[in-house]
Amino acid sequence: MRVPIQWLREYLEIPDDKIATYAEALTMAGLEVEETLEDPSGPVWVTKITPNRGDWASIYGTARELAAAESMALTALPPPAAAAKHFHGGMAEEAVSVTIEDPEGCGRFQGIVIDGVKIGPAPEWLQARLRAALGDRYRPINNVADITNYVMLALGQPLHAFDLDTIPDGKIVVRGAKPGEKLVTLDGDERTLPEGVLCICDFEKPISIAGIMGGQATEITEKTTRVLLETAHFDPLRIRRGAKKTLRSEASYRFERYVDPELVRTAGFMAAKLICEIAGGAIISLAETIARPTPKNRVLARMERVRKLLGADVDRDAAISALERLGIEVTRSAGAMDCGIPPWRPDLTIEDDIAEEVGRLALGYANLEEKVAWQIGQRGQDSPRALFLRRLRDALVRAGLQEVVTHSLVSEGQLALRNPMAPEYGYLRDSLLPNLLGIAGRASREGIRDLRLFEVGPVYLPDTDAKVIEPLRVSGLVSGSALESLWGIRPEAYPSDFYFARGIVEALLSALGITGAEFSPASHPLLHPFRAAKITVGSVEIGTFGELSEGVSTSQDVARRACVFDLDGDALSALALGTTASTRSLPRYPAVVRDLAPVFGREVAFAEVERTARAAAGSNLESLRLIDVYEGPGLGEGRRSLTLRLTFRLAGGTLTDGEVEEALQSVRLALTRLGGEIRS
Amino acid sequence: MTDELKAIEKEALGAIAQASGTVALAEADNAFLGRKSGKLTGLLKTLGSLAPEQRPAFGQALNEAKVRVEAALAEKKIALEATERTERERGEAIDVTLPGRLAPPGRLHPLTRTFDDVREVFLGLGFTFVDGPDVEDYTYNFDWLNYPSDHPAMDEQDTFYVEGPWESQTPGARLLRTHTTGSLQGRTFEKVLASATPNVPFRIATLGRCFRRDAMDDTHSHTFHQVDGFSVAEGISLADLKGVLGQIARGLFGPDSKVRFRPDFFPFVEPGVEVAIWWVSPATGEGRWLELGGAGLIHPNILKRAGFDTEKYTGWAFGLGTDRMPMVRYGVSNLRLFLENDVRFLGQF
Repeated sequence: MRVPIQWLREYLEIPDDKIATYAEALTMAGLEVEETLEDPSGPVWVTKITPNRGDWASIYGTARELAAAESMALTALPPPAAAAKHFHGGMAEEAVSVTIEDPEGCGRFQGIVIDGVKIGPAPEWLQARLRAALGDRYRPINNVADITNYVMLALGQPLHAFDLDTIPDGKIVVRGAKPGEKLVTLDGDERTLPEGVLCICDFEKPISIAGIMGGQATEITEKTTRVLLETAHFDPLRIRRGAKKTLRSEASYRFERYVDPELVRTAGFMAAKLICEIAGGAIISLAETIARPTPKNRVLARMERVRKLLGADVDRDAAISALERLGIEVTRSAGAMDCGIPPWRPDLTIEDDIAEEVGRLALGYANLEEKVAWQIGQRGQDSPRALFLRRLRDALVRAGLQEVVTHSLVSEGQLALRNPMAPEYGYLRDSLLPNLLGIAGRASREGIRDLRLFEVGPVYLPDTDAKVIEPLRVSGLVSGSALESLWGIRPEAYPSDFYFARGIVEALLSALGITGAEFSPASHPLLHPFRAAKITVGSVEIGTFGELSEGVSTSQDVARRACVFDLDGDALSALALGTTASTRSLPRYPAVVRDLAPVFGREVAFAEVERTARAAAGSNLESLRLIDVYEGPGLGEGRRSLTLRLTFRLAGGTLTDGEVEEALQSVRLALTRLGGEIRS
Repeated sequence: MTDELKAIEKEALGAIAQASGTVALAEADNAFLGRKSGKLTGLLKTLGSLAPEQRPAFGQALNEAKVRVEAALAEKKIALEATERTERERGEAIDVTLPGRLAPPGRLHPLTRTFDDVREVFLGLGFTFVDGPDVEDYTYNFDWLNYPSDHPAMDEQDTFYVEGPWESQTPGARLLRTHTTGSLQGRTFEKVLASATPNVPFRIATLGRCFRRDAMDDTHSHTFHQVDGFSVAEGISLADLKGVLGQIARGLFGPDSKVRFRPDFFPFVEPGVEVAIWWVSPATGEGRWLELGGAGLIHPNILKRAGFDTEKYTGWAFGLGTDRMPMVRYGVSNLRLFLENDVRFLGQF
């Protein structure tokens, strides 16, 4: 809220050189002065009102808080009786009657009728104050309407002025809207009123949305001579719900934060007096209906409890003094402080609330010393998921990948937001791949094609029973070459291709202690139909990887031959949990290493060759490694040679040449049966 | 004979001195000390032709001459080899100013690095971490946190609701959590309720992603991250909260960091404070207050709902934004850069 210092000075003495000090004091008391504007009218504070303190939404409320914080003298508001001199002799005329049919929604309603007003522009001093307080939002209307706004800003109590001659018999009914009822509001919009929205009505129809906005038909015009001035107390929740279904206004902002019911009278008479003084006329009638009396709340607060909560030894007299400055009536007794809560503080309901008031005003949080009464005395534990993610990220970073962290809100997904901010953030992601493609596309447009990226994070999917599940995915994208930036080395010697992607997957599985993964051809909508594989461990499918299809890489602007992987993080986590670390002792006897280079048709998968060779090599085979794949002239069309390096070792002794040759022969035989041609 | 010996020795030393390389030196070696035709070794054969009384003296003189020649040879060999090695190495000279060659390393995202540091500080202070979902139930996000139904406090937490068979702002509605506080406290307290003996005292924390319908600018995004911590114990106070936050501040921002409390309002704490941390820029040496989040004593309504006797037990809680930490730490002025993932940005960390 904009609080002009000039206006504040009506209630407090504020020397120019204290403006900054007081802004800081108010901020540290809880009413944050976000900035001090240099307005043509003088300095203006911009305050940030917390949702629990509707009483701060006024100049007077701000002054009252500052007075309490700084122990300053506060000018009292004029009593309602100050308007008495404007009462028309006799006051007999029953110009208005008020019926509250909805006492839950409207606790109190006061109507003041002023006759003989002359409508015109508000005086310059009043306009200047409104301009200072409202800034660019200020639009001068007329003297009466401007006065109601003035009083609202001064005291926090919204008011509304009707042209009484537009209300048949001056009969006012406060009730909920009936189905289909309509109203043209002051902003010119015709609105169908949601059923039950609290309305001010004449004998048959709504003339104003209570606490939110008046109607056009009953507004003050140049012809108005008889003004009905409404001040009322409305239920915060009713106004909030009504405003959300219709529109929000300065009035609804205040009512939904609770307005002191006692202000109905104070604000009403303040506005009436101003109208009589400025627009002329006299008060000829007064109708006040109180459906619910102002609650008188009391809170018992034990000093011992207050001190315990704050962790500070606050002096009892200092505490009581601070509470009294806030308008709380403290009955001093030997036991607990019996606190009478002022009607503008509905937020004070329990002992702990009193502790807060003592803490911020009697002690001051700047004086609260750091203490640690209890230390846990041992290191905490990270969550199992966080521990797993750390291992996972480490493995991928060690493989040379750059981590990315992307938005959960995207333009496409299986779960939509009901109230998105923009279409590009309208859904929850159901895959990490589109974000990775987006990053790669942007990089590619910047001329960067050498990428090795990964992300680990949840995706969001609908589940049965209208539940939402958040599976963990581990996805990545690689393109170009890991060696592209190195001079003198041919990048194509080590491309970030399918086999690089597979290497990453294998390194990850190895780091997580997961063994026995099988790779087999797979299909995936984003991937090349013959360059994609799925990974399974036992019966669990862990994920997919492969080269992006030409269509995808073209449409996404990603480098050709880029590869992606997309793994099930939850499955990896479950498998990783089941592994235990173990080591083998170092061998004591020498190994025998032999290479074999069988030639096969390309249709024979390496996995098949490997499986066959391993099975035939016998128990002394320590390892089998692929050394080279060669295709070329001399082998024949569609054929390739696979150079295998077999390492044999006996745990308990040295292998003889005969034993090794016997095993090799068995491998040769098996590979020949598989269709291989063994060249020596 | 002695004269001849002297002449040959002189000749040999001269040849050694003049040898221009190891090859020439080997030739000189052979010419004078060679077993077959060496001039010096040849003199040994003449020993028999001398008178017996002359033999010992000449033999000794010959031997001494041989030792001197051998020494000269060895010395010259070392010198020549050193020269030749230097020559060879000169030819192997490389341009040491060419760039190094190492496949670029992988990196963690700057947010991850910051979050890891935060976790480390919290773990050291005895916090145990739990995880909650990003898509949360209204019950945990608001209801458990003492939000009166439809309160203006919710305007500060403008919430994304997921489309589904539920009514917004009612228990059961799925929303994107607006803070990590609800997941943490609601879900933990529900477990406390379910267990026969509440395992107090405890310190529990969570770190994760949150969402609010906030306009995007340099320091605001609809997606942000928070770390939340809370504790329930006998007799803990607002001063304890300030103490723990002070320890966290010093763990994250250095030994001179301190904490400032300012009154603030959140429905789930009473009293409630805004937390600011004094941060000194390493670049400029200037300090300023960073407003990082909210904190306070857990509202007794929540403790009661979780089954605690509020006369005996108190609790504190805080939630700190974790996106401003990497911003100040790395001097990043635009929050959006972190989730945009321009590789030219990420490559700088």
